[in-house]
Amino acid sequence: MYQSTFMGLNTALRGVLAQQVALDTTGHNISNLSTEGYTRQRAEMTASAPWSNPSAFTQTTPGQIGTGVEVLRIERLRDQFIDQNARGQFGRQADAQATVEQLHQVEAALQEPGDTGLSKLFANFWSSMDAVASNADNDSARQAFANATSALAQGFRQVSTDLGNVAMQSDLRLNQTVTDVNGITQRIAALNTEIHRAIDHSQQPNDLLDERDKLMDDLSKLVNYTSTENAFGEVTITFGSAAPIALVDPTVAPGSTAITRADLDTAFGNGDLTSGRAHADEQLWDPTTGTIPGYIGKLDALVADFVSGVNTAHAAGFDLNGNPGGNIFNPAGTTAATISLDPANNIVTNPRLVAAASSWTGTGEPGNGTNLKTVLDTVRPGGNAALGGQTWDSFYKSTVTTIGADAQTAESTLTNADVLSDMAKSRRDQVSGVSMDEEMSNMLRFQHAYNASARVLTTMDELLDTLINRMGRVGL
Amino acid sequence: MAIRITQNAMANGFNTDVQSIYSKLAKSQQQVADGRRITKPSDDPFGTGQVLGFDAQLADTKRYQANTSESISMLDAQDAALDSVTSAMQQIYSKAVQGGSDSNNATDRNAIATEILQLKEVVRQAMNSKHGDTYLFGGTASSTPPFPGPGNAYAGSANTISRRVGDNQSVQVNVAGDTVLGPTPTSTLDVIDQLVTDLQANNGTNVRASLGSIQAQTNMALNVRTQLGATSARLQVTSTRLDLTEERLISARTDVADVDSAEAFMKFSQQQTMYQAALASGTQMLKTSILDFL
Repeated sequence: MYQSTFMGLNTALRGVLAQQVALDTTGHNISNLSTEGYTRQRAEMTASAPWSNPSAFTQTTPGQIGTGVEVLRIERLRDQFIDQNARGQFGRQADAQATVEQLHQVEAALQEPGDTGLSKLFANFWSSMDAVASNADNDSARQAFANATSALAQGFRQVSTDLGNVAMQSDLRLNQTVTDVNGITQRIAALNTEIHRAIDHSQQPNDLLDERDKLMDDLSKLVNYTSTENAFGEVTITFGSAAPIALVDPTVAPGSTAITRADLDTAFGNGDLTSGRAHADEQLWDPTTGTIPGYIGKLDALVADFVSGVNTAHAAGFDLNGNPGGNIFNPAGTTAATISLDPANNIVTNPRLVAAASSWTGTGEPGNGTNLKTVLDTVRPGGNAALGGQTWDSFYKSTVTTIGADAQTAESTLTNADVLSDMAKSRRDQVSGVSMDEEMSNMLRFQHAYNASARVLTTMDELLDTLINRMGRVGL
Repeated sequence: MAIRITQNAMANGFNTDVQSIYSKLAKSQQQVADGRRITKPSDDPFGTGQVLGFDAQLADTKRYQANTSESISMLDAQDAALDSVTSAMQQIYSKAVQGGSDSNNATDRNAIATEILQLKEVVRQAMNSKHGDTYLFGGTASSTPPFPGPGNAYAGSANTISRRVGDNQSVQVNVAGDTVLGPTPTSTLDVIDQLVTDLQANNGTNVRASLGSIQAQTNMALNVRTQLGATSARLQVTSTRLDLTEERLISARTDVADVDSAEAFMKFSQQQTMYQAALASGTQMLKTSILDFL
């Protein structure tokens, strides 16, 4: 028994077809050279099942005869471990990025050091107070002091509003994050279904897997999560460990795993939320433990102590009408958002109400500025128990320094996270990225293999031609 | 297996590097252009604290400088007023010497008395002189004349005015009118009145006897002038010291807050070179591929 006369034709044909598939895959890779999230694919070829002589006892032909090549599958070159690591880095990077952006806005609100910040307004307040202490009977010095006082109060209110706005942005962005997370998880759930279907049909859904991996990358920038993949290629994504929340669950209907803002807040509270943009915003915004409300709280503490301290000292004196001094600041406005001049004793509309004099004897002492002088000499440089023993000036200064140090730390965290996330990306690219040089040299290889297979086919054709057309023609 | 480097990895790496160099370049450019090293607290948190401290001290120092120069001009105004007082007193003294001589008859002494009364008004007016809107010798009762007349009583306040010329450092810049003229009923004005009465009574003995007390009252005013002069001299020293303090603060602030322009420019040039090198090598590298050789 001998092999079929046409066997060589089939072998060559398999070669042509397999190289064709390999060339198509190369073309697909090259086309997606700059597609984000694309994973390079490779046609896995293997020698097809050899043909054995079915004879049981004679060795009329040598061993097994090769039948050519076949494409086993189109492989996707991806490393799950690298993906997991990269997603962790993306989360930390997004976290640091959001923190830095917001803290830069906090710094912009402070406008320090500069001519428009609170420290300048404080300096103006004190030096115009000194001008009144030195020229107590001078109405324009009093007016200048009243205006500086009003500007200081307004400066506090402005900074408080601006800081509040930054915190509010984080608050609003958390709502946006919830929407984004739900959008992404819904698409992942839909892809799960499609991937399951393809795998049921023994297909390798490479491009769907790429799309899902890309979505999972995006999700890692919002919240931290863990994922597992089952035998049907479906992923289960879970968020948190103390009180786990399913983000994607193939066992339930798509869309039934949507999270709410309350879920995020709870997860932050019990320590489940550890990275991603959501973590940054929760950390900045949270009204009790948040960074920005903390800064506002420091300003509030300063204002409360400053308002009562200045009012008490001021009330010890006498105004230009000889009456005992009233309040400068509204005693009810003890936060940075509410500090204002006392409407019952408005020194801007009537600067004569500034109680500069320490006494008012005889026909009056309009030139007496000793009360304000005492404020400058003893009250201003005095430590305040409510502020940890610091003076008003130094408490504000250390608040600015704290904010600066926080922003600086966040910046260096971001620089680190950038480097690590770039490294993760480049590690992933080493495995999954398309290299044009590689694809082109592969293309040459496949092209030559294709040509050679085609040549084998032609040769087989010539053999058949000899066999059919030239043989048995003796005497013709 | 060697590490696979793909075109995308190369391009991404190139973009990241160029971005990072470019942002450093932008920062150096900004520093060269506006000269500030600290534009926000995170540039140098500790330095920001220092700068805020220097700024507060500078504002205080400027206020102290203003207080010092205002005080000096106030002291000068008092000195000028007291100059008229002492010169009037000296004229009164010579009139008194003249009136004490018994060669004068009652009419002569009456005429001298009238002249002395004029000089007394000169003294009173000098003591009521103002600096701006402030009566100089009324103490803290600065908006009413200290010697309003018709009597000789001091209507001002005994409370002093002092100004801050340094942290916890004050200088008294006024002299109460009754310190210059002495308290009633033995004030300079009372002594002059007594002299006028004696002259009008044609009492040469009493007139001669009052010369001593006139001299004593003049010396009292002179002593005050000496005191004011000493205070003024002290304030001149303070003013010089404050100027030096200001200079020191400005230079200390500059050291912390501003860039050394030579160093900044050198850094800028270095980064510019790096930027150009990155661009040149990157574009050379990225535009070559195996396609050029196939």
